[in-house]
Amino acid sequence: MSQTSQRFAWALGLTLGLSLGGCATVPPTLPALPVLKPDAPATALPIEVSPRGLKVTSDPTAPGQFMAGLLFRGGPINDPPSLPGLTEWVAEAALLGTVGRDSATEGPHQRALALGGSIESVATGALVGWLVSGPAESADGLTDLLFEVALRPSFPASRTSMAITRNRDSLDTQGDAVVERAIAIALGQAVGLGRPLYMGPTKGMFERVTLAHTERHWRTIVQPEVGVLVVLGASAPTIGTLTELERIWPDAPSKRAEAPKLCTPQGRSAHLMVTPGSFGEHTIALWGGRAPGLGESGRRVAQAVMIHLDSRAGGPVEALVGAAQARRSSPDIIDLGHIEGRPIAAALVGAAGPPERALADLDRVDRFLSGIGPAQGVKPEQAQEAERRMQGQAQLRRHRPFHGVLQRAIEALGGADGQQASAEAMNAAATELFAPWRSSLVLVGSMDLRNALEERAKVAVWSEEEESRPPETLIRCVSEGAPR
Amino acid sequence: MRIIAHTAWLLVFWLTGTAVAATHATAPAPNLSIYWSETEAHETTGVTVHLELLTGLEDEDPDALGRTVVALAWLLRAPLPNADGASLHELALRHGVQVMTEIDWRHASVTLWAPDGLGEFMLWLAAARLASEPPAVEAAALQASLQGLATRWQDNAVGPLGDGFETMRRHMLGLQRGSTRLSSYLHAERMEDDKLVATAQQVSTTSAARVIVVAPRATIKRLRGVASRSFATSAARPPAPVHGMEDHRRQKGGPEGRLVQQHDGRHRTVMAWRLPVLPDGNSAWRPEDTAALLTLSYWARHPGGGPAAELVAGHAIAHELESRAWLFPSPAFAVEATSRGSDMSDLKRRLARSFESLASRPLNTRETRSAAQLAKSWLEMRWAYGPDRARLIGELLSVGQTDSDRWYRRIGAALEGLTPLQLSQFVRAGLAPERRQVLYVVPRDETDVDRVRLDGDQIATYLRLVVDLRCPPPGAPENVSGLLRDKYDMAPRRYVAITRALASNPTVMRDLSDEAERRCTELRKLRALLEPAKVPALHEAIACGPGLQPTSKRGKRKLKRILSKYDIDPSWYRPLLAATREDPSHSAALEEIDARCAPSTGGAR
Repeated sequence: MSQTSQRFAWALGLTLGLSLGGCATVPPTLPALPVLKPDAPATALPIEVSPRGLKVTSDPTAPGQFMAGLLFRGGPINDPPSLPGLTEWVAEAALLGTVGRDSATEGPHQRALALGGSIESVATGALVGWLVSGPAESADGLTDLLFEVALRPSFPASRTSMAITRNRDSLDTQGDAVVERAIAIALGQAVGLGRPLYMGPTKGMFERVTLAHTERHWRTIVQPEVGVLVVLGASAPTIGTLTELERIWPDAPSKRAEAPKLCTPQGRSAHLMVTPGSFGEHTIALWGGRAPGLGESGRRVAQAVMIHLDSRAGGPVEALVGAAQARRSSPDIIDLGHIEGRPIAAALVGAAGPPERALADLDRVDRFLSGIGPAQGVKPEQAQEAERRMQGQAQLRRHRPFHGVLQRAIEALGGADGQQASAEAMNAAATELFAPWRSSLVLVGSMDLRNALEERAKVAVWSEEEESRPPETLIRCVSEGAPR
Repeated sequence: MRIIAHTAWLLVFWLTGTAVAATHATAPAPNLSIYWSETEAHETTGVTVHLELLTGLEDEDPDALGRTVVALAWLLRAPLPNADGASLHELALRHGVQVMTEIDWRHASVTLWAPDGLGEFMLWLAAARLASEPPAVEAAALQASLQGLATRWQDNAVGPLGDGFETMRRHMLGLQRGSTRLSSYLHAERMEDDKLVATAQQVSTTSAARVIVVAPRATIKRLRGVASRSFATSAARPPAPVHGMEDHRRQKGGPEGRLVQQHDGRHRTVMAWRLPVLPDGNSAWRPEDTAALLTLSYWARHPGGGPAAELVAGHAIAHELESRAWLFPSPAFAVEATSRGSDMSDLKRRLARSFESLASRPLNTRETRSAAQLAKSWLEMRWAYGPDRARLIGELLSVGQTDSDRWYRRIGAALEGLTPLQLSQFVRAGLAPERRQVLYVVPRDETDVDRVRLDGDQIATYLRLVVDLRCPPPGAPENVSGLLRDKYDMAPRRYVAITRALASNPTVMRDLSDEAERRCTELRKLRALLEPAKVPALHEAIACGPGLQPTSKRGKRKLKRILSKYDIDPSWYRPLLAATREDPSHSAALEEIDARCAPSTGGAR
């Protein structure tokens, strides 16, 4: 052994000995927080258009099982006023049977199971349609089924009638009607409808709906130019296959229902929904205002504002009202459908608890929200953070089971709104979103609460009964497009 | 939308056999392992960092109630070192990391999921959370965390133990065994400040922990180097415990219970079966058993599956069906049906039969393959989704299964090869009436008579009962309660409630009496025609022979010979069969013949 080697061996031995003995070990410290690396935005999927005008997008390499969605623009605003929730019901009813097949033995669910998969109806507020999932080897069969359900539902009379009764009874026993009506009042006021805008089917709808309503509304919804087919985990059907799949596309009803007329409230309105007895000690307070629709200019920035104001630990809303209330009091944008191609949405904020507490929390949040814009409350670093989070969330949604299909559908149908969320843009958006003159307050509880509300605005009193007439509008409402 | 409910389902499972040494684990600190699982690389996959504190609901003895939820509160909101007092929850959300939480029988966990670029940041969060000497936590931070979890386990709760499944599971495990999510939360929420902080302090330093990372291969390669440095400061902790499967404890109380809930008008029936640890009587739990349980569970909840087709779409006596499968510490299978009306006896009977009859009338090959394929497809989806895979790997590690890839392949193969025979054997071993427990969840202020729904089915059942009492078949149970229990699965209290409900309508009662008398006259004639004891033999000869409507000449001749042997006209065959089916001493024999010689098989009847 050479001298150099001996010295090296000795040094190595000493180092090891000291290390094992602990003498040479520097007490470990937690490294500093790593620098966050920006992530490359996920690439948008290419979009093709079928011969009938349906958008088609696919990602054959998406991991997991095969999934496909056939989705159309549509939401609560597209429901006939007397049949709230009809859009969602149509999607569910289409799963009861298809033309030329025995609904008892060859229903869509049974056929999906036979292929080792599932089929579900979807109603997100902005989109309505159906999703299939299952093994990749069943992709063709499940895609056939998807188109059959969308384009050739039979709405079998007895099964449809049974499902209507079942759903009506179910709504009756769940006991959420009061909350749903309060939200409907807030949303209806936010878009200036003057009537409640329910997010889903109501008991009254199930009492009134007929097969003719169902079939007619289905024709209205299922139109290729407002639809998209998303395929993940398999290739999209070829043009030839698509032509075959969409050969029988139902015609839209010749006479279209009149589109609802929206208007912008000019001044704050207050609404009390009286619930004798049940809500004496616990109330719900809601704040509603108009928001940019999905894909509309300004939606992306508005979404960034919502992300900035979410219910996270240490966030501004939690600091105002505490962790339990923050879940309700962080504002959210709710998509309501489309009117003549224009997406409609509203922002909603809530609070719950004993009446004084709920109203005080909502007031606090209201003051804070309406003060953000004027005070330039969103700082540049917060805007950057919101932008990064928004991108990350969109990327993750693309990978989440089922959500991925919806996200891709929104991207395909939503149109381009590439505006970056800068602090300036977010403050301007907050000013517009939370302007007091276009908001409505809704309170659920006894008549005793009227005085508390009257301090804020003139009060309209609503009944908790779905069938009751809305009170007379007290606030000036300017039709959209007209000067304010 | 049902999708959300599906994705929330988390399976627990067990596999026996030799555990393969971990090939994807590193140990940067004593008793702390990081498990690395490679996913398919795709631009949307992201990175999952799953952090588990191994103290669970099963560890909550009477002195430690609420500890699991406190552990979760600590994980989320206690301040991190080197972070200016910020918590993991705060830092994660502020930087766009999605945070998911879970508590169950074995652990409390936080799952962090974010795009690839945040991988190092999430590892740092996990390392900081497990660092030795974390900054002291204040009660206010823990309370804020609890407030944030406030409604988490209260949705759909039927009582202080949580939803129907949790309540049932808790009952099956026995009252001395741990908490449920909701009860743990309620105990934590009521703790005094001092106790809350002390519990958090104790649980944060004395609980075993593990970290699971799920990411594409290139990302894992990059993160492994970072991990060894970041986790070098982790606190010394006890080694991670490994659990085993055990048989159910002796059941306390009756097989049926009733729970009154305060704020919900729904009537729900939760039915569960205590599965044996040795399903085939000899060997321990195998991948085939897990495959059978998974298949059964997905088939049970699928709207196109047999039970839903019968109970929801067919008879319309249920609004919806849900199912759960548990393996640890004792295996069980449960279904919950939301009843359409207040009468749940018919629903219970049909629900039980939907599953238990699979022992004698198995699904056919096509149905079995479809259901197994459905389960496999869902398993693949969960495996591809980082947060679900991480939780699944955590479950596997808790039961000593360190090679999760191998487990996944074996279960996939077992699902691929599942046969109707395997499924029916599994059902025969576990889904038997004596292993069944039922929980009825009913609204407040409901009397026995209120619960009676006098629909056609109910009146028809009562009519059969009256006929049995007026003209009992030879060998029928002598006392009424025996007859109610054995044949109608009905408690005497319910019989009284139905009688009272009917008595309030004299016209219906009179019609019932007349109809019962007419049927008795008919029955007496039939019994005189052929002794009930001989009917099974007649049925076997026909059903397993030419059938009642043979098409061939040979078959027709054969049928004629059989009928002449028993000296009856063909038109009497069906009435005789129907009458004998009402006789408990012969109905089982007839069912067995049906199963053996029926022209078609299937679960949906």
